[in-house]
Amino acid sequence: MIGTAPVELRALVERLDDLAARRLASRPRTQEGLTRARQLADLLRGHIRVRAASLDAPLVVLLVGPTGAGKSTIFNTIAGRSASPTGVLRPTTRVAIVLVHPDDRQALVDGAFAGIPPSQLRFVEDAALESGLAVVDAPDIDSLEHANRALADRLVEAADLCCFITTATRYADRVPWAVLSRVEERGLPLLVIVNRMPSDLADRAEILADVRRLLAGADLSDQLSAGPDAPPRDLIAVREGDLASAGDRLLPETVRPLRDEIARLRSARDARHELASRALAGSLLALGEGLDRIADDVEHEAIDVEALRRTAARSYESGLTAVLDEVRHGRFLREEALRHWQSYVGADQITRFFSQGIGRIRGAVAALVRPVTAPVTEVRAATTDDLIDVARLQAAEAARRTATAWAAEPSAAPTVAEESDLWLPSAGFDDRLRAGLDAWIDGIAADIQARGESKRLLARGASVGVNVLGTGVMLGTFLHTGGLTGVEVGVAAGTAFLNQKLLSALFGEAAMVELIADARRRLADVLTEAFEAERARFDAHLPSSGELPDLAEELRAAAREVRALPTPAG
Amino acid sequence: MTTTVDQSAARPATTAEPVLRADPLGRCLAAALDAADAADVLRLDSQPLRAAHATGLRRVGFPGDAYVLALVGGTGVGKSSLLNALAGGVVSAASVRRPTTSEPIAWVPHAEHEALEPLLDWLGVDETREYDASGLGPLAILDLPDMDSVATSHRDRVETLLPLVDAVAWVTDPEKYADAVLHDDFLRSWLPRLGRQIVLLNKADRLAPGDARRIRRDLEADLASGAIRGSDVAVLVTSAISSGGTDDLQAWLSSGAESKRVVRERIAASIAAAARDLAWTAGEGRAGAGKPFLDAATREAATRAASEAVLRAVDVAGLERQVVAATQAAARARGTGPLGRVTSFVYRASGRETAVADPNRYLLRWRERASLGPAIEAIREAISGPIRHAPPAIRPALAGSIDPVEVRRGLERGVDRAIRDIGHLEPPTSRVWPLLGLLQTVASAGIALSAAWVVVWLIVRPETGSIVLPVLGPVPSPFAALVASLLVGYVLARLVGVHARRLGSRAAARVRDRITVAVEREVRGTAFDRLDELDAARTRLASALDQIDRWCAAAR
Repeated sequence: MIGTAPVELRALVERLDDLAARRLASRPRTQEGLTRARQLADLLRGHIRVRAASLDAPLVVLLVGPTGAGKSTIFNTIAGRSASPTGVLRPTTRVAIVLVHPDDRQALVDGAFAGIPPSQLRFVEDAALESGLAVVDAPDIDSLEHANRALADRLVEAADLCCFITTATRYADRVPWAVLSRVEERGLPLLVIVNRMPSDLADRAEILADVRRLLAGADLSDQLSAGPDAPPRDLIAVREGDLASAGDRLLPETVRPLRDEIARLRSARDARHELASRALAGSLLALGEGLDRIADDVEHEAIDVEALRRTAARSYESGLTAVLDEVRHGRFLREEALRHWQSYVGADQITRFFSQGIGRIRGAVAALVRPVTAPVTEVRAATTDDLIDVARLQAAEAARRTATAWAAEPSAAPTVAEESDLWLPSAGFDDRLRAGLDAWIDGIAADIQARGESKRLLARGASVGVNVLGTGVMLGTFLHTGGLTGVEVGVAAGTAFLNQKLLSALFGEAAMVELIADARRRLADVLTEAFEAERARFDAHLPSSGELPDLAEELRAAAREVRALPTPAG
Repeated sequence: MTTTVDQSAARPATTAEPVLRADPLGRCLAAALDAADAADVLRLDSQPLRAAHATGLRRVGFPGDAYVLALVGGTGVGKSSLLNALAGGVVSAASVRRPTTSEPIAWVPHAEHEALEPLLDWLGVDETREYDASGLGPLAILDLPDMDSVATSHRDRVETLLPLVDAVAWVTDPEKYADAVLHDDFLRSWLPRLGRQIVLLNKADRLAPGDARRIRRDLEADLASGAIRGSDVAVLVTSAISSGGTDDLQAWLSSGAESKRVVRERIAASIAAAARDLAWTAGEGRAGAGKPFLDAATREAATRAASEAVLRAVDVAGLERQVVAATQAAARARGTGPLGRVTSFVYRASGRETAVADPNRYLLRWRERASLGPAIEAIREAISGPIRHAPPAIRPALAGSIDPVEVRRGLERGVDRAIRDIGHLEPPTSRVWPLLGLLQTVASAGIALSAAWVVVWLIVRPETGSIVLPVLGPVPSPFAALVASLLVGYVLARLVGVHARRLGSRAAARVRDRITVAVEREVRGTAFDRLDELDAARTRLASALDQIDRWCAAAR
């Protein structure tokens, strides 16, 4: 059998399909990027997969062009019957109409048209035709029915031969030329019909010359040729009003070159193979280019995404720094709570732990006579509440900064417009942080107990209680400083002084410093985690960190492999 | 689609200004500027409205008594042919070559040519052809390049001119009437921004009469389905080559088109359209638009919570203790005997009194105590709801209205002001204290005398019977006197203490009330300053938009 696609290609197709699917799933952030990603997926499914499997699959000859150019009329002329409705109301055709031999239908549905919903296809079967070739009347590419354009674009990816139909009025329209530039990229063999030509011969010559100029300018001359090294085929000019008596088709003579070409392809399998492998060669070229351009898109997006991610990271980092700063200086602590604690630690029976001589005895007596209860609950509640307030304020500020910055980025603006919660701290922020802080305080208590086992601490501190000591260490993390003397009798300083004396009396200076340092580190962890969780809400709207660079790399590798493929034999 | 801003248009034509003030168009223009200013405060994009305003102001400043109608359409629909048919001769070269016209050509009445010169200059139209009065009305027709060909510079030209022309005839044909470019890129955005306009279905000569009617209906339906204001624009069927093919168009051109009115209509329409867009982004007309961002109850609750947090930061409880302590210190100085004075002196000299009994110093140093974080957060949290429900475009301004640094500064200044308003805190005093002090001194003297008596009696030991030792029952008098004066001294000291404490507590309560009131007042005054500005801007925007609705409609 002559004419096979390279074996290597078949092995590649699965992987390429997967890449195309991943690219579409990565939510392309620009319209052009989305279009390219769709083209890749459609080209793979509609053409490369089909041709890689077999060059014998039915050829697809596509009639494509702007609305009102007379595609359906020409289709009917080729079909020799009223297969596609024509009319003056635009757009006329809203589905793809496929003229096909009954035997080919299933192959098309499973092959070239696999990506097209059945509702958008209408088959016109004709058993009198030879099999192996289907003629497709595409809907328009430029009317206000956007679905038509989407379908026509898909068909362009699936075609083996494109017959572009335009008119004397239309031929310089921009939108059809955008489609033609895709035909050029795809290396799709091309025929051009200029319909509705004026009768004046000079006018016709002028128009045709102009169309040729535009085609040459668009680099389409090669694709217009009938085969390698053949000269470009001439344009087919159809005079306005050359209608057959039926009214919905032209006089058969007018589109003779097209009819001849179709007849030639229908009759000779070799000719079909040659065209199919030409189309496949074009597709593979376009595939290599397309993969590289999509890799470019993905790399650009990766840069944008990283910038967005950094914005969020920076905002939350500076928020966290602000909270840690407040924590380090204990600035958020309430004077009232501290006073409670100071009067407790300063009470006689507690001072006995760090007093000498008479004070010690006095304390022992006082403990018997007038027991005091530690304000553990009040101090904890006040401290936790205020710390959460301060943290929430910074989390809100970070959210606001990030959201405001994102709102200014076109690719991220829709996200922050839709998700109004991103402008605020998350709903669960308080609860999560509170749980974290509670666990932190419990952790301090556990730490004290772990240390106490090896020392006589518990024996001495038993009367004070682990909870009280935990609260002491907690305050110590906010208040502990090196050089306090107790001369400055501000409540914070005074409390710090007394608190420190109590702790060092019970644990020893070194152990106390260690306890406090541990507690500080763990508190920083709790806060960092809370802020990370907040930031993650933004990250969730971005592709994960390595995803895009990986995808770009794989696309590039695939492009290299595609380029290295041997050209399909005709 | 972008609106091109003519920079030169930013400078209003000064001669037109005074005339403008009074009439509806003047008010419409003024309201546009108001709305744009308010939109800036809300960080909304006021550019389109400003551009419409500037263009409008510039346009009315031009002399001449003709309006400019532009022919806009795709390549090959027959704009030039149509103009030629109207003129009855070649004004603009028509050709089979696409695109044909690349530079706009103006067809102006002979009488108006000179007067229109500056306007055409502004439009950037160099080529002009004159015509003699023809019953078309005071009208200059611009044949524009196409907007759909491969020559993209043509489309740019059209988009530059569209904001500036006074009226538009959209030209299309049976092939192109359903083109996406025409509908999506032009009609949808420009129909609402124009006053006088018409849609022409040209090349009717190519259609059977019944088909022309069907296409016209189809086109009208397309225009209406776009759900655009201004979709009531009429569709006329024309032909440049069949006889009578431009009759309808001529009739439309010559009917009811007073040029000043056309110009006014256009300006009013473009301002109204820009205002509508702005209103939509600003969320005007949505639920809750007329109300302030923050409802009164939430605002009140937030103010209260913030005030409480500020008072906690200032530490009012500590302040009260200081007031009581200061009162007691004052009482110690004035209401005690020599011993008390010594103690008082020691306390003062050691600095203990400044530390614990100086409410003024304590109050002034409030910043050293606790952070205002919780107070700021209480204020910040109040705008959560409004942010969540605000239209996206408003959110940056709304969220930015509570800037922690700024709010902190505001609150700090507020607390400082509140402290200044309270003035110097003088601990209360009492006239009873000197009296008690005198008694205490007497008691101290009594203690001293009786102690001396006891000492003399014990040391000298006078012979028994040589003097008569007074006795009170079984206790010798010197002891009794000592005990009695000690008792009196103690009672007096307690009395002073209790009295001072009571006075102090009462004073402290008064101080607490005063600072609470002062802080609440300050918080109320500063917390939502920026939010109030936004509210004011929104109110201003709403009323400016109302004005635009009213006066721009009146101007048409």
